[in-house]
Amino acid sequence: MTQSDVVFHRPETIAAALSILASAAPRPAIPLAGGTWIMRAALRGEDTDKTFVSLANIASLHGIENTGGGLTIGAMVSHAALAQALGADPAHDGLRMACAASANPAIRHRATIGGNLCSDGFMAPDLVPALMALGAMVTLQAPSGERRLPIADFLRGRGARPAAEILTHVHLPPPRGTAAHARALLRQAGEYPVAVVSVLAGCRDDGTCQSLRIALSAVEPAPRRWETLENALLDRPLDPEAARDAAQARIQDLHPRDGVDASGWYRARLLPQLVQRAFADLTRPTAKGDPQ
Amino acid sequence: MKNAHDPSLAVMDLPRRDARDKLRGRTRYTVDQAGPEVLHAVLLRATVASARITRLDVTPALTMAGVHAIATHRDAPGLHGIGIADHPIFASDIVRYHGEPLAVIAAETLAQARRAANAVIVEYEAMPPVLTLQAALAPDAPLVHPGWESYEVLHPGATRGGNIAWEARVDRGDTDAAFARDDVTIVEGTYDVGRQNHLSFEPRAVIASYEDGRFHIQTSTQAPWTVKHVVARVLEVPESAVRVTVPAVGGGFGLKFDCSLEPYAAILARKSGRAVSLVNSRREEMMTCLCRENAEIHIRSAIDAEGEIVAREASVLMDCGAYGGEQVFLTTMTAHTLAGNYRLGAAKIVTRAVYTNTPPNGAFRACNGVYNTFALERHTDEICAAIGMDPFEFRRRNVIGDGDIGATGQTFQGDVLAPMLDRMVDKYPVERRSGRWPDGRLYGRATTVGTWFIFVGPSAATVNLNADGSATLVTAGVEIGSGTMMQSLPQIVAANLGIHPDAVIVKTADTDAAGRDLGVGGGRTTVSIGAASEAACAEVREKLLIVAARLLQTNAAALVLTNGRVEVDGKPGSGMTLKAVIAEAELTTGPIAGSGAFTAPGTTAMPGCATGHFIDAIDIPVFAVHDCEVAVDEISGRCEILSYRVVQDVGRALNRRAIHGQIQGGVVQGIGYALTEEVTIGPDGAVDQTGLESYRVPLAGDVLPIDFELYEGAPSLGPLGTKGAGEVPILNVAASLACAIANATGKPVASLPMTPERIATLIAGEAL
Amino acid sequence: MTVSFTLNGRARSFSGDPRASLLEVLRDTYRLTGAKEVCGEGFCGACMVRIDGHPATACLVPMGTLEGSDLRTIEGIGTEAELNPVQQAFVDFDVVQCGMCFPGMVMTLTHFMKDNPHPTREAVKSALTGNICRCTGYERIIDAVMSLSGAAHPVTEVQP
Repeated sequence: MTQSDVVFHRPETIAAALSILASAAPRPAIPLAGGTWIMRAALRGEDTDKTFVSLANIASLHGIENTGGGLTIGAMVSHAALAQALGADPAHDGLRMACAASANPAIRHRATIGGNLCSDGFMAPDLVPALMALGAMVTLQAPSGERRLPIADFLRGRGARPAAEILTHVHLPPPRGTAAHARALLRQAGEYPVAVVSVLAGCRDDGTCQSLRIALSAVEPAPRRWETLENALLDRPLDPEAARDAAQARIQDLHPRDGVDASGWYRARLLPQLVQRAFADLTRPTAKGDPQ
Repeated sequence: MKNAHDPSLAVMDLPRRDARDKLRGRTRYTVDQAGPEVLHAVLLRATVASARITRLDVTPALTMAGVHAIATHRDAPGLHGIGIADHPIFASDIVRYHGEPLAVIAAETLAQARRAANAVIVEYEAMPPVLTLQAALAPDAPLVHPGWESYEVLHPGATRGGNIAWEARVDRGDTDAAFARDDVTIVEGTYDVGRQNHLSFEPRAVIASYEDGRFHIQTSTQAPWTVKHVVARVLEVPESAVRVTVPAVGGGFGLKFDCSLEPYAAILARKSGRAVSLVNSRREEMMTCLCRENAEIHIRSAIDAEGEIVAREASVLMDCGAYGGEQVFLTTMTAHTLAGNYRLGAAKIVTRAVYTNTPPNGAFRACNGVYNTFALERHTDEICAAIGMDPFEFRRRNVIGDGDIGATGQTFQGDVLAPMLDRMVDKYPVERRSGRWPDGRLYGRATTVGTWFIFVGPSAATVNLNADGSATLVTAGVEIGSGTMMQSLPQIVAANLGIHPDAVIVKTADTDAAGRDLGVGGGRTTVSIGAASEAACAEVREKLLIVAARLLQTNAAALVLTNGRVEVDGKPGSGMTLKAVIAEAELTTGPIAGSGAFTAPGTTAMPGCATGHFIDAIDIPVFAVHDCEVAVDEISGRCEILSYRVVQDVGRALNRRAIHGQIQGGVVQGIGYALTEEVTIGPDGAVDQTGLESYRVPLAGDVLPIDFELYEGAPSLGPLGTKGAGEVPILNVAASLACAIANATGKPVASLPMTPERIATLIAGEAL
Repeated sequence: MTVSFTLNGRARSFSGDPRASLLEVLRDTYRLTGAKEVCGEGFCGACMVRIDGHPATACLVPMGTLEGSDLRTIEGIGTEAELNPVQQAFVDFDVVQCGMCFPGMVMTLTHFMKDNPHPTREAVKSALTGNICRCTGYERIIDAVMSLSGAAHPVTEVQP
């Protein structure tokens, strides 16, 4: 059997995976993580005759390591595994909530953090905004070497990535502050959200907000930060109602999308209340609300 | 001979016999039956809503790997339909909807069949489509069926023309005079509703083979005889050349009440000489479902000073999609639902089924009764607001009762709705219908009434008495999940023969074995098939007791069947075992069997009231009273159901636990219709919701336990006084939730579904 | 490429297209039709199987990832003589209707009850987020599962 006949590879190193992705003939080769996005390609009307390069056997992609106070998470770590592994640090509450609430239990067990970041075209990912709020970085490896990017930069370049490149790790900085993750659904659970707000706030001793990141998902075609709202709320105490009012006043800075699930008008209507809910969760001393 | 047994013997919570295999994954539905010898077919479907086909060339596909046979309109040029024969199974020169079949291809694997379908050359000359009711009825609208006048009319008496496929009218009394009175309050309202997809977990599926000059169609259907009839007509063969058998069905809800995929598989089976499997993908089921239709309802009522409805006029526009289908028949049902529930002085109802260039609609659990009840109950609450009467009080005063005349002039028997209303409010007294919930959300409560009916019609049954004392029931009934074939029917037969239901073998549907049956749905399985089964049992009893009487040297009239024995009435332990009597019978007269039939008894309507109707009067009405409380979030529009209560008219409850299952399931389907399930059609005439990501059915977290009470004793022609219970739980749900939401928000709810976004839009005062 | 795994306790190897879904292979190659093809998107749970001890939607699992895996389908749960406790509870409460969703329900709830022997109703509903039923309206399924809570014998497998 020649190399070109092989449609499924199970490399054991990143270098081996990159080499297969680079060869790309006679058909395009794509990295396979959890498979929950790729296996729906036919439903999206995409060409399914691709070579799968499974990352499952690359040991270095499965770990979660403490690195200088921060966390380095392998791209193949599942939503469920990450939810379990994240400790009780309030800065990780948003990411833990995102991991614990996404999709449904069976999917959470298979879908990976790398897949959530790399599914170009998926408009309602949960992990991505939580990672953006944390100021996470991603490591991309290519035959030419390795680079590290903030998530927003990675998302911008997602559509034009080279074929022979793998997102291998996600890096969380040392946890500081408190986080929350609020999702708006049409039913109680089990669906992609119509709007997501993910927040990380760091406060001074006097209770005023020293650092603030607010990331959105599902509102626009891709996840993004809400910088104007962040600026408006900095240096003020965390106040859910003030946050809601500030969000209401700054909806025009966003371009909420019309979709089959909901209109832009509706997402815009939900956002201030969603921001309020996220901020209320930030200020709650213990349990951070329901995965809802 | 009268059935001399105690009807209560038929009543029990008999567990269903197919549960174990279903739980172990052993049950083989039609989708599980295709073995390695079967070819796999796919339909090539149009990707435009309205077009002339300028080229259809299948030759590239014919020579592709694995392809065995291809069929197009040349293989089945005829038209079929209900009421009007307007429907070709393949588009020939004109495409009328996105998804319309153009060709069907059978190959050794599904992947090969799909590749071959992609190789077929199709060229269209697009024409402007009409995608909405308004567009279809506009002056100078393009005609979906330019040749409408030439179609064969299969059921006489209706008006039709242009894009109006069918019109049914009811005219009783003088509504004009009533509206002209100066002592009436006139209230009117317009309501619109979207489609609902059944989402039967098993898609439409068929395996067809052709042997000894006959077709054997194995299919997931609710109506084996309809499939037989349509396949024969389309393939231009005698009906006797078609045999239909039905494995376990993984959900129907009305989707499978019509013939759909079967003719395509049959044609390919004949062409290829092999068995052919055709299964709709989920995407096809989403995009070409025979949905509950979208519709527009206008009602106008004149109410006098006493709060009585002196006149009611209504017009309903039903979107049938590109072909008339079930909607032609369903125009009949407006009279019995929209013009049901209440006493009316005079009534004028016009219902039109309208052609559009969209996928054809069909029947779905309680059909247009669901949205007619929604419109009627919303209108009723609006009347109450206009005249200042309490909504319960108005209903209590005006619901039909014994001796009241229905919309088509039939006379109703018994007071049923009024005592059912009393039962509801006695159990759940109404303190308020609007206000705030403690957490600040908007609170609303509503109580609604509904009238539906049992869809009677021809059914046949044979009961064979076996040597071991068991009995085999042979009907064309199909088990689609409600349990009737597993529970109610063996319970009825067992009670009639004095044996245990576990000793009743229920033969799966086979048109070679059982007589004609209208199909499973419309609550008719228990009633019609049950009645035919009872008639068959009566013949068996008669034959059995003649033999037993001679053996026991007594009068047949003194004998009863009980506990597997023939005994002298009042003397338990007397007589002999059934087996002994059967053994004797086989020596003298031969094996014992009985046959029975049932059809519409034919309750009369008032002459001249109804035109274009398929059912002039309801033989067995079924009533329902529902009550619910909701809490609505003002910003998100999300509606939480706080409580949901049902009082359902069942005649006699044969299996209370099974009815509970139907009520819980049917109400949840109604919740989906009212609050979460939306079907929209894009500018290209294609359904937007192509899968379960976008089509939102209620999940476990979206539902609540339904409180229910079974109201027994209303008059019913059904066996043992029963009425079918499986369909009606869905009837009032949208009505109840809409009225409660209207009460909660203080806004007029006139549109379904009430998704969170649509409720938020209503609250915000925006246009929908 | 050959993929070797254990399927309901038996060693198997598969040499077809490793990109094919496990669902397609179970149904077409092994004729194990208990896992149903309903949505193909991982939302409905009708194709639920167990891979290396955890429920997974077979429609989204490519065969090539299953080397060395231990697979269990509904056909490997319970026997003719003895259903597993979840199956038996469904029989006792007579909750099955059309039956298409039930293999998936059994797979999900058997796993859930093993780890959560005394759940609340809300927890059961949350566990069923990825299992849709169109017939029953769910509550009687949950009644049946709740009856197992605090049962004398915990939910374990009955394996053929």
